[in-house]
Amino acid sequence: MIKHEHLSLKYMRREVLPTAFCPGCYNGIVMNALFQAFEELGIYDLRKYVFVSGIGCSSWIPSPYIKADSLHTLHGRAIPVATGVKLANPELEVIVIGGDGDLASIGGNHLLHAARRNMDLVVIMINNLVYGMTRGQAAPTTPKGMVTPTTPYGNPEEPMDVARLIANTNANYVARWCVSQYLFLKNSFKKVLGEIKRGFRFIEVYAPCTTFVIRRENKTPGQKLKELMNTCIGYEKWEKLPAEERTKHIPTGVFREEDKPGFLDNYKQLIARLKR
Amino acid sequence: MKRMFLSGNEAVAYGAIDAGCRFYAGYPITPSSEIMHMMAKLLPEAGGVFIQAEDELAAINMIIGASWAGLKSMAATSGPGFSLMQEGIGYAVMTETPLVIVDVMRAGPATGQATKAAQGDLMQTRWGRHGDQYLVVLAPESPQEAYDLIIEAFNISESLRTPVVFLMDEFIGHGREVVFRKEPGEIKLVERRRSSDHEPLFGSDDPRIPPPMPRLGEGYYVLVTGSTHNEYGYRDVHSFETHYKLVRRLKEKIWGNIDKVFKYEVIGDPGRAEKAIVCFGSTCRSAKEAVMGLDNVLLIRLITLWPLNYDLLRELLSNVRLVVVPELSLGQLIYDVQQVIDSGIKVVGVNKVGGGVPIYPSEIKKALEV
Amino acid sequence: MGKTYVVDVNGLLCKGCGICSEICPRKALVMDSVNPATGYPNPKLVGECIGCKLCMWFCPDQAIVVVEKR
Ligand SMILES: Cc1ncc(C[n+]2csc(CCOP(=O)(O)OP(=O)(O)O)c2C)c(N)n1
Ligand code: SF4
Ligand code: SF4
Ligand code: SF4
Ligand SMILES: [Mg+2]
Repeated sequence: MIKHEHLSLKYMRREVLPTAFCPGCYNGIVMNALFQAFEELGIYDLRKYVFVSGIGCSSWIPSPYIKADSLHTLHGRAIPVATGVKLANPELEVIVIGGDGDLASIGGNHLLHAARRNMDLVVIMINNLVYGMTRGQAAPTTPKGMVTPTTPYGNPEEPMDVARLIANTNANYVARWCVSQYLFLKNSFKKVLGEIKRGFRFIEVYAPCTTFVIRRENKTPGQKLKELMNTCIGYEKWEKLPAEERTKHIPTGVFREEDKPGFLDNYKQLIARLKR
Repeated sequence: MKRMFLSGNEAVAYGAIDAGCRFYAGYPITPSSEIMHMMAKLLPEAGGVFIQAEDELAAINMIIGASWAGLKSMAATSGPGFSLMQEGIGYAVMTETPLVIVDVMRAGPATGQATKAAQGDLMQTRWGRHGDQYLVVLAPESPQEAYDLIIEAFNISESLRTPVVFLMDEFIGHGREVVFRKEPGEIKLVERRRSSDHEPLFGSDDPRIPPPMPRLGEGYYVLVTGSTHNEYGYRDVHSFETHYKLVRRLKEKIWGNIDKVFKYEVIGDPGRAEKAIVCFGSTCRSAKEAVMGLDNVLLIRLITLWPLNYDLLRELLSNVRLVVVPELSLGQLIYDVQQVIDSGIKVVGVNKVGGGVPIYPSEIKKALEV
Repeated sequence: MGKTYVVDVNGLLCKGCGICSEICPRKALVMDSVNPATGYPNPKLVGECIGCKLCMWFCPDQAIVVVEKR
């Protein structure tokens, strides 16, 4: 019997499957949404796309699973490497995929400055609330009070709202979706890959780590996914909630959307001025 | 050939442009900033890209990305910035990324004396990173040599697919002299070997021959990783064989090509000399003055500081009874000399650092009188 | 009207996480016995599939596919 195949597989390196991710890890769902966006845009071959990642579970998505050029860089340094690639060859579409620790903690400065420059990159940050790869320590996104190996008495710090922080910069596009909001997420990917094709485009995916967040709550990844379908709401709705209700919900949506010239457009203008 | 009057820093920038460098990322720091200023001016005119990075961590990683996208790339910095770049340089070694990193040395540690010359980063250029890693270190003694040698630095980085550290000090960086700038036709340029379909991108049968390197976007589905990888780029973070084979090959790629990359200058007759001076960079200028008229002193100026040809150094020093090693530091190169001489031969360091005070020829002369 | 669907499972990719069976609005999927090739249980279609594709979207391991029967 000829079996049908998942649409994602044509974008993946089959010889290394199944992935090294834990059973039920949401990273694979983000991949599905991304690949479905490519498919719906009619992009079947990724040879003009370069994926750049840092260190962490989510950084393994492109390296080695995506069948495209990929640079698996140092912890936190995906954005500068991606910047170098894009500036050296503007023909390439450069996509960064990384974790909340990688992009917002150790690489946080690069994130801010790439956004400020409106650098022509797509950045996908998987916020799994912890450092998954190193066994679930607290990240800058870890909710206050959460117990992890480095916060055994509960996290004393306030988490960082990365999407809203970046929304206050010069970036062209900023959105946050929960992994449960699959169609919104896929449509955001389509937007930044097919429509707004320049400037800094940042998508945060709220996707708690199955092993070090969900299992610690004694839940299954399926149960958590269904729970997220209720806890993740549009930010306009979230803003109208009373304060004590807000902490129980995740505000999602598109925080910023523009199509102004990116870094490269401005750089090209400067070169053109030189030639005159 | 064009006659110019340039500082070492300016000469580096012109040399880099003439070597085909088309991407620069950096963060301002004394005493290297003039390189950055020049590149900001020259690169857009040459059709290249200049970007001021948010820090040196970004700078080194930007040039890594640009190199994989196909451009010859450079970053220049000084002490504190060079320290921040170390992890990225290690990544470039592991991924065999051609780059040139210029370190214009100032007095350290920490912020030290930002405007004052020193030579205390020598060991850091070799051993500043974690793990087993080897690269090439070159050191000019004048603006003219800075110009010529930076072109060579790019050629070596391309031919061996390796980062090359270009080590200067503040005296050379800021000192101005006549420099002859070559015309395009007068320069021999080396380009990295491009890919053919069947060759692996991270392995070769002969470790001295680096694997080919495609540009991103050419359809090779390149897997670049700083983690241990097999010859096709696939991560293997468990097996002894893969790791051992990889780091051995990367080491052999540098040391096995020592004949191609080791450069030095000798003044005097090794057969007749009783005494010797071993030096690099700006201190050699005082040393050269010190040996003028002395026919029993051998002067060995190391232009390549890594890999170091210990056998050759041993041979050159085999007949002398005294070696003087002047350094603008508390002594680092002296360890190399101590490694190759027989016991009984005296090794004397002339060490000074700070305040922008040079080592005077008279001080070297005095040391030779021992 | 009256569309029917095929649900194919790739037993070698499935890690038995159970997301598909928990997310299925029709409770049409149950986790079956352990696949000896992987050591993980695989889902099996036991009810009526309405073709919503939730299981396919949310399968992290690209192991389940839903297609309309022709
Ligand atoms: C400079 C440096 N510091 C620390 C580490 C160890 N380390 C590896 S992954 C990681 C955290 C990854 O967390 P995140 O980026 O959120 O990715 P996740 O695994 O959660 O997807 C850390 C701290 C490292 N590799 N490099
Ligand atoms: S540790 Fe968490 S993020 Fe990492 S693979 Fe496992 S479930 Fe996914
Ligand atoms: S969601 Fe996928 S991996 Fe998980 S049990 Fe179902 S088919 Fe298997
Ligand atoms: S497509 Fe929908 S109804 Fe059919 S099995 Fe999957 S989740 Fe259930
Ligand atoms: Mg994380």
